[in-house]
Amino acid sequence: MTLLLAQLILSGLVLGAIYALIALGYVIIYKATSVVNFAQGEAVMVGAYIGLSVYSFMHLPVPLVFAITMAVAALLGVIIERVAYRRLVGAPVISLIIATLAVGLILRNVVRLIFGPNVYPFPPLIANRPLRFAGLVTTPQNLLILGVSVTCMVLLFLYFRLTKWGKAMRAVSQNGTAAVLMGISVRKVFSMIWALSAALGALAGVLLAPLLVVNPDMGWIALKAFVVAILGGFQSLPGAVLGGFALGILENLAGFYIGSAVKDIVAYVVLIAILIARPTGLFAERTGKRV
Amino acid sequence: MMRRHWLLYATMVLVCLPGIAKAETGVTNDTIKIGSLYAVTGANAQYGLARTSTKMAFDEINRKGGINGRKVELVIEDGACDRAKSVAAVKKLLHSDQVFALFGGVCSTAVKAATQSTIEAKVPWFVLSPAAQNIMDPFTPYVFGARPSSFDQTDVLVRASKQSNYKRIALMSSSDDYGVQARKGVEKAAPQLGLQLVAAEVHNFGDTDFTPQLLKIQAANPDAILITSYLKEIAIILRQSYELGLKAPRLATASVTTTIEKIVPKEALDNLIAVTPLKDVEDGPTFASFRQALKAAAPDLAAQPGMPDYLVIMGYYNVSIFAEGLKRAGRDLTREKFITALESINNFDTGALAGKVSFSKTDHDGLRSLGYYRYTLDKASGTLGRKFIGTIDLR
Repeated sequence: MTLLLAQLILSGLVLGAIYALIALGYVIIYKATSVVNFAQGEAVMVGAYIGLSVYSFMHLPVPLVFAITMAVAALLGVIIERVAYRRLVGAPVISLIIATLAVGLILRNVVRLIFGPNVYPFPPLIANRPLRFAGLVTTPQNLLILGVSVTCMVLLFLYFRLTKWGKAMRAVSQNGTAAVLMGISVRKVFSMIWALSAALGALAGVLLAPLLVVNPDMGWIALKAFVVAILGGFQSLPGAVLGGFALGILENLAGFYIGSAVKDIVAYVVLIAILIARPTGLFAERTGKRV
Repeated sequence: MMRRHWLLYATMVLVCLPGIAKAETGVTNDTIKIGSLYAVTGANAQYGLARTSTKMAFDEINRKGGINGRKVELVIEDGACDRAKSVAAVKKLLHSDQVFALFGGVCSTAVKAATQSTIEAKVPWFVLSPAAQNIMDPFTPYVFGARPSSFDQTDVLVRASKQSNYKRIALMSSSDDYGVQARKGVEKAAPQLGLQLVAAEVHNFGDTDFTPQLLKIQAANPDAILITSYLKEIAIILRQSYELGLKAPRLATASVTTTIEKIVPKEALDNLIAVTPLKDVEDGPTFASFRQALKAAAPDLAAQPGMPDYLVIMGYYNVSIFAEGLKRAGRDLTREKFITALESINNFDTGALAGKVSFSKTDHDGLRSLGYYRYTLDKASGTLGRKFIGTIDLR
């Protein structure tokens, strides 16, 4: 029974890692701009298609696939920010949110026009024979997903703590006006933030693609990552990571111990219960003002 | 003189009146307008690719002079495999385009919702893929189909399990209409054939991880696993069951199309039995000439991985049944006559389906035969092959 529980947790961690990566994209943007980016799912989908193009059609090695996919997605993020979002700075936040919805729909339909509606197979990034250890089963592919995701999360935290641009992003998140007064170019920081968020989504897309199939609607998974971001408080990077793993595991445990038909229901009931107990999420930063 | 003119006008009106009164919606002197519902967009747009082969079949008919002197005008609407969009699309076909009848429709849940409008309007609809039993049952005079339902498909899976001497079977099905009907089919057929259903798991549409369900099935230790779901979900189920080391052979419904070979590792497809409404596998000799014709008419579609799949093949060949009905209804075409003409079709051979098509006044489920085939991986050469096993007639 313990073995079964361990197997369910192990499988949950893999999908949880992907939820966490996508959720980080939401949180980074929200912290800096107060915008909920509803095109984050499309960043995942576009990432999968970029990965498909460079891996399946051009046969480049896997590390290059990750690098090119993230770079192209980041560039796309910058272009979209310049064209669609920058002009809306100063407009009500709801206008920006609607703009992200529109960008998402445009991206999805452009991809559908280029690649067609058919599903595309994404070959395994690594030999996919099952690995068995201590009675548990997983695949090198799953370990790669976990390894790349966790490495990426650690690098992201280090980036925010140690680099000049990372510190600038934190400064803008904490107080935009003060950041401008300190000589930080908010425009450049915003560009970087959209680029980083798109790159994270795209990385999740490449990692997810071999587990599913590539199609223009695969970005729906970002809806679960959105829930993860809420669970984590929407402003907290560690909250998004832990929320991702928690949802991945919770879905599997609910599916096994309560019933596969109510798997999604149970996970979301727990989410609502947590939000009732802590409306700002599990890891929300204190936002109270001293008066 | 005046009186003679009045007589002439009256005679002319009397002669023309029956013709005007009988002019059926969607029918002119030289055209018949047919509506067609397919998914052009959406997550399941691959199920709508059959619209190309349907158009190809009607174009061929038109090139040969049409039906009873009328050419077919095909109006394709996008239902996106979505209930609300399909209902809206069918209402547009009925009220805005004013079609005579409908042909097409693949996604069961969306088609079922949309048939309510055609039934109310008393417009006949030949559904291409009425996979959910509740599209044909309860009976309505206005819906026809020639593809065994998921109920029948699972019946064949259970019979194939019996033939292979699998006694303890497990079921993995989707939680929507399609899966629910399939589960009813297994629950009905299994005890009749002396088989035991040891586990029955469901999943939601769009799920990405099936580990909990597969571990439960593994714990029940079945001889075979029956899967009734959609292509993308079946692909993940097959891959994960291979990864988790589930050794039991798998049997799957006709949602498995040739595309699966491109998206699932070969090892995970070894020893998979799948059913098909066709009398041969898609790349078998029966469809050689169709594949050639598709390549010429729609090279982009023919070049896609796994194409043509059985839906694209049915989208072409099932038009022949629809056209036979129109032909039998005669030049003086009305919807009532068309329905009666389709009901007169008996033992009609499309040249593609697993059995002959027959309708009657009380049964519009035209095909109750299914073929089935097995994937085998030759471990020495690493080649994956498909072999057609045979057909099972449920009538």
